[in-house]
Amino acid sequence: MITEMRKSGMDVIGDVAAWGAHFCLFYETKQDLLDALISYCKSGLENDEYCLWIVAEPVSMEEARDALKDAVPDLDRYVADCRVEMVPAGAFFLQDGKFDGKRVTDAMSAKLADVLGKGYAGVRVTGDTSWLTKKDWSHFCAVEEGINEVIGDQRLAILCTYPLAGCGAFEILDTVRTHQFVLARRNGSWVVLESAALKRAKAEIKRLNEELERRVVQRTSELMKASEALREAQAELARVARLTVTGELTASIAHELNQPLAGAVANSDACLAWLTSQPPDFGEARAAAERTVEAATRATDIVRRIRVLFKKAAPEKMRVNINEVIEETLALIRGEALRKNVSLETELGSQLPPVLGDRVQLQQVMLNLMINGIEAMRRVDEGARQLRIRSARHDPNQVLVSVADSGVGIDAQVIDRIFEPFYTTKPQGIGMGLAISRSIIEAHGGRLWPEPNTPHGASFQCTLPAEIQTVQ
Amino acid sequence: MKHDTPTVFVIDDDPLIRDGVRSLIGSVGLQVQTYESAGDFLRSTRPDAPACLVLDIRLPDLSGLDLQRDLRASHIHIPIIFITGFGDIPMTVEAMKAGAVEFLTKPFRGQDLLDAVQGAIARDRAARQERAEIGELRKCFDTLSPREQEVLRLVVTGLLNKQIAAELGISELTVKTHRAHIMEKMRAGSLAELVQITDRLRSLPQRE
Repeated sequence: MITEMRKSGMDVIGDVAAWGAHFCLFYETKQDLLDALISYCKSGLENDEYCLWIVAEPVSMEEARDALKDAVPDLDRYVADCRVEMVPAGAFFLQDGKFDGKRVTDAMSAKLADVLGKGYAGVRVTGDTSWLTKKDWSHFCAVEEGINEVIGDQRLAILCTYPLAGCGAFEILDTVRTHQFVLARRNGSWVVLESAALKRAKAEIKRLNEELERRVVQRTSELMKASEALREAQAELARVARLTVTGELTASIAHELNQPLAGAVANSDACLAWLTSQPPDFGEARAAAERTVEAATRATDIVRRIRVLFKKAAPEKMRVNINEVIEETLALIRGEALRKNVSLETELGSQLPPVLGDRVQLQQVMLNLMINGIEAMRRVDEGARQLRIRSARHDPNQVLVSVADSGVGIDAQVIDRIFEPFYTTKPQGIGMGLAISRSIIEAHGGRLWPEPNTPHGASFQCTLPAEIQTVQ
Repeated sequence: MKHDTPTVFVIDDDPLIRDGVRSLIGSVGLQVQTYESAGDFLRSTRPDAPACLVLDIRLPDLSGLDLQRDLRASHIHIPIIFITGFGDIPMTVEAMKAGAVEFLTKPFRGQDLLDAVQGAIARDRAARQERAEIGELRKCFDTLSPREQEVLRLVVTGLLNKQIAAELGISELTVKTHRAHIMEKMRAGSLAELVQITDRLRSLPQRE
């Protein structure tokens, strides 16, 4: 379907709806006819179209040429270039005085193919019917009707002109029926009369368009809702995964917290005892009170770290010292490591450049990798459980962190799957840890990948782009 | 070195808890010695006095349970009060089976610890007393001649002099003489008392 708009050159119809327009015009005077056709042809020539004007009474070939030449001064050049063709209707429509619709349509098709092959934008045709007799009327109507069937997908516009005087009511009705719309001279100006079929078609198109638009709007809103729901679900899942990881840590966090709490209770009890002893020993009481404060501060610090870990916060990018993130995470898993008899070794690079990232998310990744490492060693002899955390400058613009365990290593058969969501080797795992970790690292412009550790176990390596301040 | 001032030994790697416990126990007038690790404790010289040990179950080198086992193996009798961050049931059972007197979960109330310490010291004092008495009895027993020791073993099983004489292939009169010496050396006023003394001696741990 060609929907490109063409200029008709006639004010009343504005732009011809599109290629594929097949419309008619009823004229009363020769002047009216000439006015309309000159505008029509002039516009076509100006728009790089090929014009075919089939001329008939009351307009002679000379009159047609002269009138068009008045409107288009370099008409001779157009004619010489074969851009415009004016043929007498009798020669075009009739052969030996007989009308043969098939011959006419074939000739029209051949003309169109020929012209389009020469690179014109399309073909604009006008033909007059004053030559048409009653004998050929219905045959001609059938041809007109046939044009409607095929014109839709052609780069072709056809304006058929009918002398009003020569048309009775039936002829007018036939003409209106066989064309998409009708131009008529009323009270001195041209008006457009649309056929019922065209009106219906237009109404249908409008309705379909509206329906389509409504569906697009509805579908878009559904998609947006779905994608919002998906995003929420993913965020929730990530949070649940994080909670699961931290849930596994509850015991060790409780231990972490109980330690300073026990210190606070013991010291404050001691303080009270020294205050109430006879005589009171203020020096001892003071020392105990100071230790109480220290213990409480330590507890507060742990609570703050836990809160950060559980927080459901939007990502916040800032300059982060990766060693601090590692230390904070180590503080949380130290109890877990002790409980599982895992020795922790760190080798943190000094003077590492900061990375630009979300501290909580990075902590979550570190936590995940460390807990995974500890888990991977549950089947290894207690003496041989070692988790080694390293940080270093990777190349001038990268920071590398590796978390290496001496566990069972990763089976070569599953190594490609470990980052898939819901893939897990742990009995209680939900399989989101590595998937989330990788997406976090990638969102930070970094990479996360596994490598075998020597002599055994696995090492997870991640790089993050360093935030290097350019020296002005 | 022997005196009767009780001492509490505290082993915890967390300085806040170690100092808190030291201060708390010191406030009730008890001697306190603190150690960072089980190794430090084992290497230290400790006063020969009623004592108890406040021991964190989780320690960096040797764990609290390991230390408990090692002390038992070396016949070092000292009541142990465990303190732990995890109220882990299997661990508690193991510690209690091995003779721990108390198991406190952090954070514990100061009074609970003091009560446990006082109880443990009383218990150690009694145990020491018992060990001292048995030691005395052992000395008496050691003064018996081999034949007298043989006669003693048969006497306390309830055999009559005649039966003992037949068993050992000696005269009934000789048995009577041995018995008189035994009663005197073991400072027993009656057969019943002698049986009781022998029972206490049996409860002595085997010498290495």
